[in-house]
Amino acid sequence: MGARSTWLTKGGHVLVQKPTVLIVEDEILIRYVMGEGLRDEGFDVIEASGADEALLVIASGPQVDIVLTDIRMPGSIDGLGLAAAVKDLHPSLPIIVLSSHLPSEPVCRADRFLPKPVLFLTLLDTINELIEPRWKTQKESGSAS
Amino acid sequence: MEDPERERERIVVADSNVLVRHAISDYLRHCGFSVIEASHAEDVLIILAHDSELGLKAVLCGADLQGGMNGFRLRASVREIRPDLHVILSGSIEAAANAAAYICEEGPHLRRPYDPQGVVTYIRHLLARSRSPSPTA
Repeated sequence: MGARSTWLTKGGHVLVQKPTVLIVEDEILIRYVMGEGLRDEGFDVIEASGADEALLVIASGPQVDIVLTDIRMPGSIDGLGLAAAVKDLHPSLPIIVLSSHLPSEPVCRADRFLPKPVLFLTLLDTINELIEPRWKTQKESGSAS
Repeated sequence: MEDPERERERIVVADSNVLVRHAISDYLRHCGFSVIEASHAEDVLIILAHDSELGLKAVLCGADLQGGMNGFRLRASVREIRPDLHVILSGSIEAAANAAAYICEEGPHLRRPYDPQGVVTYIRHLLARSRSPSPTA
C-alpha cells in the first residue's frame, strides 16, 4: 500500500504528499531496516538516533505525521520522556512506543505501545490506523485553503 | 532520477547534526543510493562489522563527529578494516553537499555536468524547508 495522498490547492495545483514518519531509535541497524521498509511503503522518513535529535527535528519545523520511538536510549530523556514532551508540544501528533521492556506503570502518554520484536505488517497497520484521522483532517484543511 | 531496476548502492552518511544528515541522506536517496544514517563514529563501526551483508560503497562523514571518535579518527579506523572503502570527510554543510554531489556524479543516473553550487543551494533549500512549516499543514 502506498502511503500517498493528493488534494487540490486553491490555485488548482495537485499536490502529492507522503506522510512523514519520525523514527527515534538508537540502534542503527534497527533504525535503518525500519526506515527502508517504511520508505518502500511510500512514507517520508526522518531518522533520529535519540530523543534529543527528535526534539530538534520537531522544533525545526518539518511536518511530522507520526513518531515511532524506542524507550531505552542514551541522552537526556528516554522514549517515555520524549512521548510526554511531544504530547506537551503537539497533543494530536500520534506516537507509537516500541520496546522489549513493558512500561511498569501507566505513565506512557503514547497512543500505542508495541512490544519488540514487532512484525512489520503490524507496525504498518498501526501507523496507518493512527495517521488516518490526522491525515484526513490535513487533506480537508488543504482542500479548503 | 532513480532507476528502480538497478540495485541501489549502499553508502553511510555519518553526521552528528540530524538536520544536515537528513538533508544530505535524502538528496543521495533521490540520486538512487541506499543510505544508512549514522549519528556518530561508533555506529559506523557497527555497520562495518556487518559489511559482508551490506556491501558498503562509501562513507561520507563530518570531520567534527561527536562522541569518542571524530571524523579523522574514524577514517583511520575504517582504513584499517576496509582499506578500499571510500571515506569522504566534510568539514561544513557546503563541503558535505559538495561531497554528496561528487558521490552522485559517480552514479549513472545523474545529469551532467552537475553544478556543485546547485547542490549546496538544493540542500540549503531542504534545510530551510525543514525549518519552516509546511504550506499544506
